[in-house]
Amino acid sequence: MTAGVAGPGVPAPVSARDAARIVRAARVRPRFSALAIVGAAGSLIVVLVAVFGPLAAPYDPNAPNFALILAPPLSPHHLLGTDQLGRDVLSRMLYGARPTLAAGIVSTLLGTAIGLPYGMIAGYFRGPVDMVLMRAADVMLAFPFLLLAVGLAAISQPTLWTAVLALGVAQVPVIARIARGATLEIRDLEYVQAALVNGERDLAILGRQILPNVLRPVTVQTTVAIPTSIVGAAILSFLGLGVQPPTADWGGMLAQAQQYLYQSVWLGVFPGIAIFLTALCFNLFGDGLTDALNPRGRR
Amino acid sequence: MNETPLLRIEDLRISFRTARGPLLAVNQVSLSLHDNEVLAVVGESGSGKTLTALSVLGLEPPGAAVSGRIWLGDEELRGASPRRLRDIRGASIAMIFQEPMTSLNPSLTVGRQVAEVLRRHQGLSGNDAKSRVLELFDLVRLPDAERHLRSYPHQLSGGMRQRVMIAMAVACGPSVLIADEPTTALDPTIETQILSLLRDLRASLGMAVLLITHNLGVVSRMADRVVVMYAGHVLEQAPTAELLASPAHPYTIGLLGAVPQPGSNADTRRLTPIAGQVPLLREEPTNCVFSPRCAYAEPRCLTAQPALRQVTSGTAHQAACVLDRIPDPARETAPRAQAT
Repeated sequence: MTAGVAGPGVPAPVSARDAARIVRAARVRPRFSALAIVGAAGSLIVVLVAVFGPLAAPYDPNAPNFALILAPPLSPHHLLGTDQLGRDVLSRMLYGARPTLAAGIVSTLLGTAIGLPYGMIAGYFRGPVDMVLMRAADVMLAFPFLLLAVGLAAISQPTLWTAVLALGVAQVPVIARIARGATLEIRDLEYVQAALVNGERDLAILGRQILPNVLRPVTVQTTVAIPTSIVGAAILSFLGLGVQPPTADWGGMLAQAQQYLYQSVWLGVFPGIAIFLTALCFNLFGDGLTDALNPRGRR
Repeated sequence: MNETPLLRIEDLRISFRTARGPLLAVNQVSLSLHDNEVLAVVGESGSGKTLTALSVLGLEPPGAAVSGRIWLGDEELRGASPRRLRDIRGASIAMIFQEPMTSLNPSLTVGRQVAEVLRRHQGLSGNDAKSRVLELFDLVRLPDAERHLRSYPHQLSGGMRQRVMIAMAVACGPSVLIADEPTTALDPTIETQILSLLRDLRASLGMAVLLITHNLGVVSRMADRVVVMYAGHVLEQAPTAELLASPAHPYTIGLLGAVPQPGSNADTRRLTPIAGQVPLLREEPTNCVFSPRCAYAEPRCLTAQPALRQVTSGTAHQAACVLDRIPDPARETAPRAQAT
């Protein structure tokens, strides 16, 4: 075989461009700590379960089997056992990931979509604008989100989306405060002054100069808020204010398991562990993301 | 200096209402900047230098009450619309700041930040903007310009960041560059490089420079003319050489006495600090603002803030002091040195 000819089984010569890319990738990787990678992997698994879980479920999650109720885990055909109606717990867990995760992520996105511009406007314009917006935010903050969820459920039927709305609105003042605080700090920095000196408009300064720097603290808050909202969604389901039976979701499964804790403790253990691990993984990932997003951390 | 000045400030007064009463930050300040001139504004912290410069751009802090008139050529800036002012900022009048560390956005590449000014005022984007940024980086002698297009500010040294700031400032060919203590945060070798860059750019781009500083060494190397400010008032103005050689106001004499002079008597000559500190004015002063710290104060100094007057007829040297002759500072410092 002549040199330079790439045949089957012969590794293609590495071009300089590829080499540079490999070196760069190798240099980027240490930016994430080991814990953050565990968190990211765990979060990814949860997301994959939410997306593809139903395809892998061995049974219809809502099909009862009264011949086999409260079967313990590792029973034949039912790896995680069955519940009080004889439904397969594994299938319900796989189906339940989707509403649980959706509630956590969508409500956080909703809260950020409103809270971020809200806080940035308050912080940038200061004075009376800030006063009015932030006192309104204080009122929102003082309003318990459970009560809001109860109110929304009373107006319409309680569904996943009323829970998402309640959880999202509850996050608006929290995100707004963080965005405002960061904006206040940044708007007095010299580069904002420099942008003013260069004739930039308020909107351009908010979008180009301030937003990229506010995103960092807000992203931190978001990654903390997602697991909190997942737990919040579980609480709402537990109270019957979110996803309605027979649809499976982890919070609702936990709520129903409560009545059977003495007979079959695993009914509560599996969704509980799932919620706990999901929240933990997202938190670890969030912490890692915070460190990685710091431009000073880049080598 | 008979031609119309490029930038003219007339009777500028800036006051604030604070929780502890009114505060008069700048009072009766008039100055003019001519084509191609470097005018240094010298004074201690709190003397109103930066505030004067910001008010030229209409960027005084919120709550400031500004009166007086400011012209750029024939155009009055104090009455201009916010929209017009935004068009002037960065295009006709540009400004660079003291702290190159914080004057650049840490989240954006420096190339993008310079391109942003070009986009704003000249509508350049994409490759046009990129090649212009490269030209500017070469103009400010930023080494490795191509690579630094994609650098973040923290990857650059202080001197390089200041070069980027200067590139942003001169991007649209301003006629006036306001440099607010441009080298205070830099080490002396870098300071020398930045000053010589500013000098060259002034000549090649035909800008006038309003140099705000408290460093008389920078003044002597850069400025054509000097304005000395104290507690919001102009106390003396003169061509640089004349001011350094024969200062007429006791405050200027004091400032010069507080600067170490390298040379023959460096070891023997004591530095003489000016006792006391800059007063905060609450209202129109009823005495010479410097009189509380002035070694030569007389009863008539306590009746009013003196107006600027010619020191020697036929020159551009003016001082706001009622005294005709100040005792020679060299002789004045000698007895103090012996006393200790």
